[in-house]
Amino acid sequence: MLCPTLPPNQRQVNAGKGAAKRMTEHATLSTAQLQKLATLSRLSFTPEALKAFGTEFQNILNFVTKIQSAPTANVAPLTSMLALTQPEMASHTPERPDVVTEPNQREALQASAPSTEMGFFVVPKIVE
Amino acid sequence: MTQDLLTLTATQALTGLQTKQFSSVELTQACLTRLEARTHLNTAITVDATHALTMAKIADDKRAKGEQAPLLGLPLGIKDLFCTQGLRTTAASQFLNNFVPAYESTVTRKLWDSGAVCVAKLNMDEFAMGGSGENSAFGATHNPWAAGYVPGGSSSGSAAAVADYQVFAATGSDTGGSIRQPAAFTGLVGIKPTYGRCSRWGMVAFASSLDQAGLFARTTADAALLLETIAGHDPMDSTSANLPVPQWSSNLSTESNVKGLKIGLPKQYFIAGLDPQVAAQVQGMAKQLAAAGAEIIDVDLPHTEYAVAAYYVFAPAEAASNLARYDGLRFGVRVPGATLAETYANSRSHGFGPEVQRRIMIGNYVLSSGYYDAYYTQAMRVRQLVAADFTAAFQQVDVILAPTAPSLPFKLGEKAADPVALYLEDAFTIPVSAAGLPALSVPTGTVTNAAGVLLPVGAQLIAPHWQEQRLFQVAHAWEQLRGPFTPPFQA
Repeated sequence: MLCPTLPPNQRQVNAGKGAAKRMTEHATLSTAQLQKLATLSRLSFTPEALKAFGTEFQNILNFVTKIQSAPTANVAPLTSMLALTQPEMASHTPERPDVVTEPNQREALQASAPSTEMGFFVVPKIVE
Repeated sequence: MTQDLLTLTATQALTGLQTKQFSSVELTQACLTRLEARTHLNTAITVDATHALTMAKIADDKRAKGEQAPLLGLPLGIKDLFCTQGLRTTAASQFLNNFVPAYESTVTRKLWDSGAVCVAKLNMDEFAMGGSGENSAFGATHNPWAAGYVPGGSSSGSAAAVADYQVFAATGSDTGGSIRQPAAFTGLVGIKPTYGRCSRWGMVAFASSLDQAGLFARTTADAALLLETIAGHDPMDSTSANLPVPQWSSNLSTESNVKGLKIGLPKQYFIAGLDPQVAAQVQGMAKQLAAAGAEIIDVDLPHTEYAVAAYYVFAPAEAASNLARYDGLRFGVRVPGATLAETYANSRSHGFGPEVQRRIMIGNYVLSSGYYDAYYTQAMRVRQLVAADFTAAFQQVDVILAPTAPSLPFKLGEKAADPVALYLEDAFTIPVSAAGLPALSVPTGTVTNAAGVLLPVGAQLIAPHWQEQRLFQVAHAWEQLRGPFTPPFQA
């Protein structure tokens, strides 16, 4: 096989720790689970919209479950595109020197802000 | 006269400017007039005629002084996810309806530095999420070949504007097929170069391990010329490659020969679900290339069938992370709520369209605690397999030939109700994106659909990393074999 495989000491890491659940164990999502996901995603849905969305979401999950049947035993996940396109760079992503290159652009950057005052972004109060 | 100007290729237009047959102001005005007359196609989100004509005048003045630049005075369209300093950039999202960038994307800066003129910021699927152009907060774009049909997506406005002769070429971005599929649907050449060939600096991010800038043009020579301008290393994008940019366009005349070239046909791309007319077009192209001296070889890409499912795990995962920055505090819309969390949720739900919200939810789900390994890690293993398929195939062949899209352009609304049906439209482009390979869609010809509508078909050429020259070489040779092909000019 031409693709990288995991070193022996990392193989079957998924089987350990009990962290990975199999997709088949959660084939259907409850409304409460969807609502929790929406809250974590910082999105708000009406109950009707969430219900309609749930059906689409479920169809997509059913579709992507196909990956579970792919023959991936001992195949390492592809975690960096550089490993494919620029292998010599994969171990060390290039960095720029830590020097100031831009002038102060506060006014230009704040021009698209929803609310500013005296050069500051106005944000909702979070401390009572 | 206007039609004569607008139907020039970019290369011809540049020659005309050089030989002073017309000015950039004349060309730009012709484009602006065309855009104004064809607004029903909804190709553009923002047109700033004053800005365009000012750029054109500057180009004309430079030329009058004897200055030279590769694209001096050439009017172009820009997909509306490339940030343009001082010119509204929306990514076709309500969230960015009033966003005016304080900086310029590297790709567009390179175009302006080369003398090009910005005519319009072009319509697209919101945040580049879609394959039909219907997911735009600014309304769907129509295919100039047939009103009521989609031009493909996500670079819908770019494809339609070039095919409708509103601009001479346009930028696009391709994450899972967003340049190649609309190029096929509108009868254009569309190039997605190798991941890392162009800088992503200043492009509104969708999925950063896949996003890549590219171009729409009416000929391979135009695409090659423009790619030379936008490619190259940029310190602002650590994934942009520090490699020399070949002179693709000047290599075309001498290297456009397919004799002895090994061209692979992947059997997994000629499957049930592929439109028979599309299959026949691509097979016909293979036969003609074989008659011209190419060797056609069947190749195996055995993990193709898993690629789309894997993509709809890792691409939304990246999207959910990238779109976390849209909080309504520093830029974009803000819809106040009783708490900070409610302000975030209100702003995001007001600003994002349904497909974007869908992908954020999917992305956060597959990255969530307990499901990460089962979905995300597994999808990245599949991605490794898909990439390895291509590595193996390129040990046998120089370039791979396949259909660009499984179907002909379809009607607006036809696939809008079923996200998964639309996702499968990208079945032949996604594997290439997953592997970061360069690919180009070139028109094969036209067919008539069941309703009697004349529509274009595109074939996809795929090369190993950094071998864009092979794509241009084969596409250019194919253009000679196929003969002239241009989208119809609708008066």
